[in-house]
Amino acid sequence: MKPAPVHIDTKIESFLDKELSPAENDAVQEHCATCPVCERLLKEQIAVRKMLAGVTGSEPIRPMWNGVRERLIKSEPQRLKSAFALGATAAAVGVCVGLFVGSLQTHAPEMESSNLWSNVGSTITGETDELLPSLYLNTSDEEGS
Amino acid sequence: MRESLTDDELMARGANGDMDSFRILVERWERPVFIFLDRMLDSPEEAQDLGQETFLKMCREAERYQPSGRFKSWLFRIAGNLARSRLRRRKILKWIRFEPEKHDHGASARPADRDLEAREIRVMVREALRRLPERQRQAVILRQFENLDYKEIAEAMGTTVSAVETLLHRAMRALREDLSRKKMEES
Repeated sequence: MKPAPVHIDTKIESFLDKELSPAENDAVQEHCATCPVCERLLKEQIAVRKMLAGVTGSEPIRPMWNGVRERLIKSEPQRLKSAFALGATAAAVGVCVGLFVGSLQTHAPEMESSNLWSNVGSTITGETDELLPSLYLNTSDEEGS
Repeated sequence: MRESLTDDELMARGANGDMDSFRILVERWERPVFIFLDRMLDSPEEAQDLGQETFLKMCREAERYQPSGRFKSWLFRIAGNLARSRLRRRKILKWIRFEPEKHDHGASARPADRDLEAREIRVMVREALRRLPERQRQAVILRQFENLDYKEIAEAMGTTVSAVETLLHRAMRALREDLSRKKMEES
């Protein structure tokens, strides 16, 4: 029994589009020279391509640049608006943070700045708040003596 | 002077705010983009509208564009995505409105040709193209009319070269069968 002929119809498009390697190209040409089915297919595909080539394209209705430019310019204010909105939000957040910090300061226990500093000093040195003035006193005593 | 610059160079200048570079790119590519969209949509009005949309996107995406000498496939990718989303919208609208398929929409709107036979063939080919599935049609148009090679088509369609090969094989077989059936019907 004779084996069924192998056709190369899947390669014909690539052959016509010059997308095959030189070896594949030669194989397609050799095959089409001996296979009437593929040869007919090749001729039909060439005819389809000629018909497609006959479909000419039309010109744009009007030049496009003016329309593109107008739309670009129109979209710019939107960008500015969003940048402004971002800035306004940042400012609002800043004001809120400022108010919060301010409220913390006003609600803090009434203490004089010297006490505040002595607290900080004691936190750092681990000394009591009475120590700091005494240190100053000691220093002045030493200077005096 | 600027007219002699490559597409990639113009894109880089455009990204830096040089509007004139964008203008040159639009003028350089508006015809091929329009023809591609007209063939995809079969409507010059929609092709004009989406052509502008394509170039607007081109300008807006300029900062992110990677200059690799593949501007054409990048541009046709934008246009192709827009065309396909428009075709999908059309289908949905047709489905909502229960509209039947129109077969002579684009052809009848075109100016009369002198050669009647040639005109009939053109109408026949346009109709056959319209009947192709969207992706097959896009591949055929990019190959046959825009002369993109398989690699460029793959880039423009966001797919592989072997997928392009398959799409083109199926599309051309469908066109061949469709056109030969029509011819037989006529004779």
